[in-house]
Amino acid sequence: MYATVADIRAEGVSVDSASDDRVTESIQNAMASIERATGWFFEPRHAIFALSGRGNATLEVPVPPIRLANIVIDSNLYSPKDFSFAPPAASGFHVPMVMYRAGTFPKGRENVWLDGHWGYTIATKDAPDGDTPRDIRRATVLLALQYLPQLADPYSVRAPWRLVEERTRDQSYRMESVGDGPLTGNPEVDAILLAYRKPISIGAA
Amino acid sequence: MTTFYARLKPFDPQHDYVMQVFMLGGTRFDAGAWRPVSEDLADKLREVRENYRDNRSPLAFEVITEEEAVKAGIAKAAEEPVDTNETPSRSTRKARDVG
Repeated sequence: MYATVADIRAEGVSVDSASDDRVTESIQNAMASIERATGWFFEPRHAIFALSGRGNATLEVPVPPIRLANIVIDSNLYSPKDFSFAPPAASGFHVPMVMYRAGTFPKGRENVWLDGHWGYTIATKDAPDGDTPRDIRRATVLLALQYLPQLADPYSVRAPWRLVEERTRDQSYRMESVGDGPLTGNPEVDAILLAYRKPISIGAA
Repeated sequence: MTTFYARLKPFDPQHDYVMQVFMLGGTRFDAGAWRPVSEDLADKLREVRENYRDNRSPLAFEVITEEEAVKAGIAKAAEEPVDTNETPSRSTRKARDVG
């Protein structure tokens, strides 16, 4: 998961107000929203992509590769050593691609099967497959909190009204909406996710 | 065209269900989530194994007919993804809720 129950607890959500199960569910909902908004995922996952070769040495892939295990082209097994790719943290990274150093991906329909671990992660010393980027972790926490309204709180973060004026003697106050973001509805989260959004695929041969 | 529903079996390494994402024919399957598929794609998915190099490894997909999906309540859920981004609109909130 992109964030842990402890991350949410650190934001002041007590066990009395939300059980671990409820917090976990809100984190999962937040992850699903982030994946929908950005177009890819941010933790290592085992995946197989059956793609169509275009006769080029490069093949655009749906998610950044972390580690390729098996490559099958036209039913023939190839060694991952013959293929390379750039991690998302590398300078100049724009679109995730796999490069075949010893030839080209022959033209065909779903004739290239790439089996491995994939995900937009940042490699660290402790995690060879990479960790979820810090910004995404933060976005997950913010969204999970949004999906976790406090019980009996009519002004919950789910309906993010902002206090803009208060007068104590007359007991009046004025609130306004914080506005809507284009991706998740939360402007703070959207500002993060826009930087991690999957680029539009050109799909050129 | 007959519609089928397919899902990549939920991630469960203890039972050798280790694949979390599979993409074929431009359709991406995330483990555990049902998706409507065409008959052609359903036929292909029925043969996919968790480890495609090992014929003894478990089948990676569950594929059911539309009728079965409707009975199990899967068809509706698969077509209407839950929007967790619902925010009560200003107009539907009662005056006392907004102060």
